[in-house]
Order: sequence, then C-alpha cells, then structure tokens
Amino acid sequence: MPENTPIKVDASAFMPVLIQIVTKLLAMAGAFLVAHGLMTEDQVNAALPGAVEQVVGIVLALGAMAWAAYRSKRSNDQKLEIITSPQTFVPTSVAVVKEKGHTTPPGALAIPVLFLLIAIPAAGLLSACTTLGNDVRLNANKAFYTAQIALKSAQQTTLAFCSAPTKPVAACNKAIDLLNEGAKAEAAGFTAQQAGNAADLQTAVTTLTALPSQLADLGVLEAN
Amino acid sequence: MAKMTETEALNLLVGATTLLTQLAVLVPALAQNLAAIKDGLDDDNADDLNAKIVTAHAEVQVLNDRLQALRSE
Repeated sequence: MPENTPIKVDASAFMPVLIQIVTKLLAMAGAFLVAHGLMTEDQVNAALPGAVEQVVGIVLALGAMAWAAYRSKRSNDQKLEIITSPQTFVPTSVAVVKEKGHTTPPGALAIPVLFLLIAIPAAGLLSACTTLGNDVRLNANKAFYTAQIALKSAQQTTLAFCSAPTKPVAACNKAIDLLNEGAKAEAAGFTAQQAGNAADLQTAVTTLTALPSQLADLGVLEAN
Repeated sequence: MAKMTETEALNLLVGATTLLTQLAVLVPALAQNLAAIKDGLDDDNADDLNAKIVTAHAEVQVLNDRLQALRSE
C-alpha cells in the first residue's frame, strides 16, 4: 500500500452504541458529583453533551488507530480517516435524565457496580470450574472464598459511599437490603462449607453470583 | 459553568475532601481484596483456605451489621 493513501476506518455502525455507553457512564459520573454536592444538576447537564462528544472522539480515535495498526500495519506518516455518523451525535439521554427528574442519582453505586462486575464473574467462572477440578473440596473452597471477598468489597464500598451526608438514601437502602440478603447467603454457604455440604454451598455461591446484576440494576436502570 | 459564591466554593472543597478521604480508605481496601482473591485462587491447601474462609465469614457478618446500622428508614 502506498504511504500516502489514507486508511479509512468506518466507525458509523458502532457510533450509536458507543455514544449510548459513554453518555450513560458520564451521566452516572455526573449524578455521582451531584449526589455529593460537588456540582449542581444544571452544571452537569450543561457540561454533559460536550464531555460525551470529547470522550466519544477520543475512544474513536484510539480505537481506529489500534484497528488500523492491527489490520493495515499503518506507517507513522500515513493518514487515518475515521468515518463517523454525525447525525447520531445527539445526547438525548441528558434531556431524558432531566425530564424524569431524578432526585436520588444512582451514580454513587457506580464504583461498587464496576468492581463487582469484575469480581463476581470470577466466582461464577470458578464455581463452574469446580466440576472439572480434581480436588473438589479445594475448588469449592476457592469458589466460596472468592464470592466472600467479592461480597466484602461490595459491603465496604457501600459503607463508604452511604456514610456520606449527601448519600442517595433510597438507593443506599436498597443496596443495604440486597447486601443483607448476600450476608444471609454467605452465612448459609459458610455452614454448608464447614459441614462439607456441596449442594447447599453451590446454592449459596449461585445466590452470591446473582448479587452484582441486582446491584447493577439498582445503579444503572434508574439512570435509564 | 456558572459562577459560584465563596460559600459554594468552600462547600465544594469540603465535599471533595470528604469524598477523597473515603476513597483513600476504600481504594486500598479494594486492592487488598483483589490480592486476597488472587491468593485464594493460588492456594493449593484446602485447610489454609478454610482458615481464610472462617476469617472472611466473620468480617462479612461484621460489615453487614455495620450496614444495617447505617440503613435509614
């Protein structure tokens, strides 16, 4: 390929999804700032469209560079053209968030949710692996211990955010109730694990594995 | 962004400081938890792991009590 031929990367199909994800994440971050009194809702709403555009632009540029380097072995002086679809660049969800008049932003739960999305699938994957392992007790212990620590992380995170004077009360109460169910499942799992009751332990690990999506629903669905 | 008064600016600083204080405790704790998970996965001794499970059980239940105390009606 001649060096001066620009590489074209068509990102238009991917853009609506990207904009949706970035808008949601930034709206959650904004809601978090509002919840902690760091910015007013109007300030966040005013800053959001520009921020979404910038972040989408950065992600697109980085993604296209990586893609072009991977696919075409682009040389340093070769131009890169990113084909976008500007008509989708309307962050309507900002208006939607405002219209729905959220007074208890769910953004305070963004960090625990992110953490859990990483931590608990590990437990889920692991519990699936226990059937393949040679040492059933060792693998069951690994699965349960991972689930325990993931639960502990969720508890610590919720404790930190819901101790703030400006906490979103409704979301915090829901999170605390869910974590109470988690603690009960953990106690049942502990009894089963100590007694060597594999079936009950599996039930407990399954309950704990379902917890993050419930917490995520609490944080994300309210932003929709 | 709209102009803010001195009081608003001070409140902003106080809020940011509170948040940073919380994060300063929380982030290392979460990092420690990830390390604990990794250690647990690398552990080949079921009895060792059992001891860790007993400790984690106690910690989880204490944290749950603290959360329940925090719940507002």
